Amino acid sequence: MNKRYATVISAYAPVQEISDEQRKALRQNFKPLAARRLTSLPLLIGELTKNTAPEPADEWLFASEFGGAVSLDKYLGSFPNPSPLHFQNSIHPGPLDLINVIRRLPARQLTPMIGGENLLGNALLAALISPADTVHLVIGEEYSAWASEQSLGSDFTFGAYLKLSQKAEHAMAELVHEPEGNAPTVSTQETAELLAHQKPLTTGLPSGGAIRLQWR
Amino acid sequence: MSAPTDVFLHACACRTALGDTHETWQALTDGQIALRATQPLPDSDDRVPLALTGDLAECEPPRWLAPSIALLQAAPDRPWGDPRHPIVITSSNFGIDQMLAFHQGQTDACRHRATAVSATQAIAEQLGWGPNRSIISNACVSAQLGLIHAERLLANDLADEVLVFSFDYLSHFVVGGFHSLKILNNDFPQPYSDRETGSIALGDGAGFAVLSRAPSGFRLAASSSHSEFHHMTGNDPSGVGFKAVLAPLAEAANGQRVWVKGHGTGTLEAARLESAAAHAAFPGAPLVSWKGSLGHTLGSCGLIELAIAAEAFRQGRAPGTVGAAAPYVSQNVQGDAFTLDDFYGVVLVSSAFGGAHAGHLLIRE
Repeated sequence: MNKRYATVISAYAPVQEISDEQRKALRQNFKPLAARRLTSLPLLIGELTKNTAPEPADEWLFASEFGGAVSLDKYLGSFPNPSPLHFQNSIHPGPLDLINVIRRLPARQLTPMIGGENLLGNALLAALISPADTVHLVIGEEYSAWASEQSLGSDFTFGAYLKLSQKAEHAMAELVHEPEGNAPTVSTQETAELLAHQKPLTTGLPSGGAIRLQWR
Repeated sequence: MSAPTDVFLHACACRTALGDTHETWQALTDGQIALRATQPLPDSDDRVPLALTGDLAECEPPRWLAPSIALLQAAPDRPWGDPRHPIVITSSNFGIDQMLAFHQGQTDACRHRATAVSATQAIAEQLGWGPNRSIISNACVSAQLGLIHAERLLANDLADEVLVFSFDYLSHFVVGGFHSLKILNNDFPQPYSDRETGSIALGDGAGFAVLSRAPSGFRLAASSSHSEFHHMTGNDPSGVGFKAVLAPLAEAANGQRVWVKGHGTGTLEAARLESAAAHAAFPGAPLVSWKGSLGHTLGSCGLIELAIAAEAFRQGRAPGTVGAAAPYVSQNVQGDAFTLDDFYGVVLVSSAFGGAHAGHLLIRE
């Protein structure tokens, strides 16, 4: 379980909100009817994972503290007449479910993780101990005005994706568990920034030790 | 797809609208129904079946906090959250009741327990948990994914023991949501009954399990999962998802006599697909669901039903499909309670939004 190889890495560095122009471009990944239902985070996930070619035996991990925050905000605002669409899209892991359902991508397992400062470390560890040959790790948040103002959501929109294989072929980076390592924790937001600029990262684990991602 | 495990169940308990683990098992075995017709929203003219442990009201402190603490105080005393004793917390609701309350203008205190992280922190602070905690949430397979994650931590020698805890208490947020989807109506659910229309019910509940590699009376002999990603709220009509999650468990059972605790919420299409797949994978195995009494306890159902199943083995008798009546959609559906003298194990499966499925084979050692 100590090592995996990243054969695809893509990232979208944090911004408060994606621009209308970018949103329009991201919608091109989907048919108009499907794209209409997608908020910022699923649109980003769609872009980051579009060249990934997953297999049914693969596993997916989704690491997000707030998930479908825009749908949640809209659902809360729909009371006293709750919206079924915003309800189902607000449920964790709605943003990733939406994309994989649109693309009809059956998989062995999806493990959606939630967390604060230890979220990245926990998600990377989960990827390393998965028995699947290939694990797709998706990280991301979306800005939602009400939630952000109340410290109940992310202040930024960002995303990152790593296709993590047990095989070294075509590797762009190595992911290594260092049981004796020691490092501060890295947030998912910092991770998106680092990966967008192809920089290495090392994050500490709540169980002790660290996980290091080193570009080749 | 199979993930054979060498992981043992050391403690497992639950709280439901019917009481603690033993009280819940006894009431289910006696055919008691915890569901009551309840207003889904404050101004609603409708009534929907809910199995509640208190009033359906968003309040401060949240109504999930005290029962969660009380339940967890029954767990073995360990340095939970230290490097060798990780905790896996699962739910599909966490503190979402507090989020709705705060959004609707209630006290600022609600804001501090409104997210998954802050709700978990509220429990952790009261119990003195350390930081080695992970949170998993995938709707109604959350608890079983938590068990699978715990198995992997143990299999990779990253833990001596793992505490898996799950809690889901209803609020107007989730009841209103299911009601808006038109699958929560004024009809009480009859899982696996062959009816004109289907319906589901919801319930409060929490459960925990302590897993380790040290032998005990129960072993989680295999785990399995599959995500269809066919539709957000429906299953692939071919039944491929149910077949995929059951196949590795059938292989692990190796023809030994088992019973099946299905997902069985009360919807018709899923009932037909699940019962047919269970019949094919485990010919002759009785299939039961307890959601016609307890309601669907959402992300926590996997742990709650595991605790009830283990208690059923201890008592030698399993509850039948409470609340349902013949004719059933399949001949393997077991209506009445039955004795467990000759059974090797039980298959426990759950399903969720996105076509997610997860399952375990629990065997008696």
